[in-house]
Amino acid sequence: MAYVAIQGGERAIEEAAKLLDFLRAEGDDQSPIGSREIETQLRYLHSRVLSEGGMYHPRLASLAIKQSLGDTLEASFYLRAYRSTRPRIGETDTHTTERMRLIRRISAAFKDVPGGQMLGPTPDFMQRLFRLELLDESPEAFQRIASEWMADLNGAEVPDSFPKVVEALRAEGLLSEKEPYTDKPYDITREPIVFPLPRSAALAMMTRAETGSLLAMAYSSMRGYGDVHPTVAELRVGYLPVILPHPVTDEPIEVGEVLMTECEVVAMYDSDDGEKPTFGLGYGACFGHNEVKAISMAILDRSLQKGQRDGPSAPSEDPEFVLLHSDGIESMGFCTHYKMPHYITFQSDLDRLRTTQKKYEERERGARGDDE
Amino acid sequence: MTDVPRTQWVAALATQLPEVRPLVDSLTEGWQVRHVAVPKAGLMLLRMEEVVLGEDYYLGEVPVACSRVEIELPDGMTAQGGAQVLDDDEESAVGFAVCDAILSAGLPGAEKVAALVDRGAEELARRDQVRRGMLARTQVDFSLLSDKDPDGEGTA
Amino acid sequence: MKVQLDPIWRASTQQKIFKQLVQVISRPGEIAELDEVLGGERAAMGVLSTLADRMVSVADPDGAIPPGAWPLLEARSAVVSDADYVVVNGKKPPGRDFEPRLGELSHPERGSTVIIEIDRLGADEGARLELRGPGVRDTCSVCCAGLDVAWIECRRCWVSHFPLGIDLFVTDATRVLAIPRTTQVGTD
Repeated sequence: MAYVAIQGGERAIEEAAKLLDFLRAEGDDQSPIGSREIETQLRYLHSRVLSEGGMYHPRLASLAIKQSLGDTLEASFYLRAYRSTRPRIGETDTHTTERMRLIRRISAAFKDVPGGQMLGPTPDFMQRLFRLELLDESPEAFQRIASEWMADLNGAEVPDSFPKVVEALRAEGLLSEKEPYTDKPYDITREPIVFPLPRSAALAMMTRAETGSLLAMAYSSMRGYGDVHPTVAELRVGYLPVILPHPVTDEPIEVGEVLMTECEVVAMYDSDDGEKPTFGLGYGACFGHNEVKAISMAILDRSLQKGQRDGPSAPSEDPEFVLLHSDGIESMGFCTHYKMPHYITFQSDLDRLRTTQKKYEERERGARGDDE
Repeated sequence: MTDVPRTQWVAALATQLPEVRPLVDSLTEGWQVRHVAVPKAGLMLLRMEEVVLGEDYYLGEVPVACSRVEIELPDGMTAQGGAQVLDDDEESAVGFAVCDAILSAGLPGAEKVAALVDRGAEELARRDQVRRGMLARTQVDFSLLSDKDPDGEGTA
Repeated sequence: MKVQLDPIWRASTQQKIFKQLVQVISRPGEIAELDEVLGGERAAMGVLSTLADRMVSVADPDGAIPPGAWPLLEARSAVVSDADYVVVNGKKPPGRDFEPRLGELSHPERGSTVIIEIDRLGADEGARLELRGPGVRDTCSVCCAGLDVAWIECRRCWVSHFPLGIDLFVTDATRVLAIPRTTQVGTD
């Protein structure tokens, strides 16, 4: 396939861009949507784009959603494009999620977990019935919601810390011990993706992968194209304080916090020959409040580990299949490029088809001629 | 001047961002301020340890700005300050660094910086209170259907 | 609030210097005048401020870098044999155990860049170097006052196994000349 430069259409292209803005503003009775509205009222959309963009920039994630008129793939693309223009100024020390300021923490595997279970904000137990009154929501009623909820917050008693459920399992010998980690994690933004990849690369790729893609592949594993029947050991959502050294004193300072979701799933137990059988776990984590993504990622982490050990027996266990087909910008970009002019390519396809059809007809005529 | 530890000054001041620049502009009038390191804004990789196998990975990139400044007063007194903030805005990092210098060295005007830090800390405390409320109000203690109903209402 | 920062540490200055460095390393023998952008700093510091950042290491065996410049450079301090960049005083010969990094066959770019400070470039005094090779039309002659020719002899060894080797920037107070490892240098 050859690429040939096309010319013309400049005016149409400019108008196409203007049209998007016209669609955005159509009607003369609207107000422009604000970043804060996007971040709060479209919370899960915002979180998805934060995560798929691979860069924790809430203000720009809102802008991306606004500019792309709500297209999650385009919005994530804006964030990735922006990040490619920014200098890399370093990396943080290793953070652990024990320090997360939680707003949600549950376990499906265990009823009693240290610190307790708190549902936090979740639609899990809701019936999916429309609240039709929201079609006609008044600003006054809307603005009362927050203050009403916040009335009488005093005296909320919750534990100060929430140890990881997984550590409790480990303490009981149900999980293998952690090996001290001496490698450098793989930087997928700077190193080429060459298989076999270390697990840190798989985690980095999945954490910014497109949610639907991860979900579909994880679902295939759950439904039998794979061997992972998971239970959620812990799912937590909260704000991780980011700590960096003070430029003068070198003491740790909190520079901000990052909303994130983290999930561990327990799968069938492993019994390596000769070794004490232990539970196999998968891990998923991402920026933003994205539970389906974190759970899917944990399932895929587990199935990829299994695939690496025993050889893949299903697509969800094959790292090349999972990791090369789950990045939204890559997959959407390739799909979208099909719309770009391919006139020369297609012209040659047309020519080839016509030639082949002609030969076919000649053959048919010849065969009929023999019969007569 | 403030009970808020230095480790929390940036987090506190970040909640009061619109006040920071006007305050440092007014306090540093007539002072010499110079960059000890070139202020920079960009992205850092956020390194995490995952808890299952204890392996490190990068969760993604976070925007960071850093600044390190030195202030010299007309009487010759000097003080250094620094800040890193989770936002790719050099201007705010410089503002925080100047506040850090003024407050840590007790320069003239430090009590105003301390007051701003305290207001920020109150904002952070309110935020924590909301989060604790979220957890407290949604605490669950699931029990199996076969167990006695804890609300004493009897099973269906 | 106006915060003071010397010109060589500003991005706009470094871009101008960088363009000049690209020009001189493409045309060995050409001398670039950086006077207008250095703001009174030495050309060697201008070259270093432009090229160094927190991702590289710098060796300073002759103490050419003022202490206050290190936080602005952000580069790691390293020994000569380990450094990406080395700054030296060209008036003295290289020490007996001065061995800059030459790179590896799989990574020739890891050969270090050496910045040599001398008295005066391009005046009619001092060691006369004859340059030939890529980027030089036929041959080019340039005078380096205050350059100890032992540097050229040592360089000959360091660049003898192309693609391994070092690249040189020779500076005086305000000017810079580049001698990449591909250039042949004759002295008379």
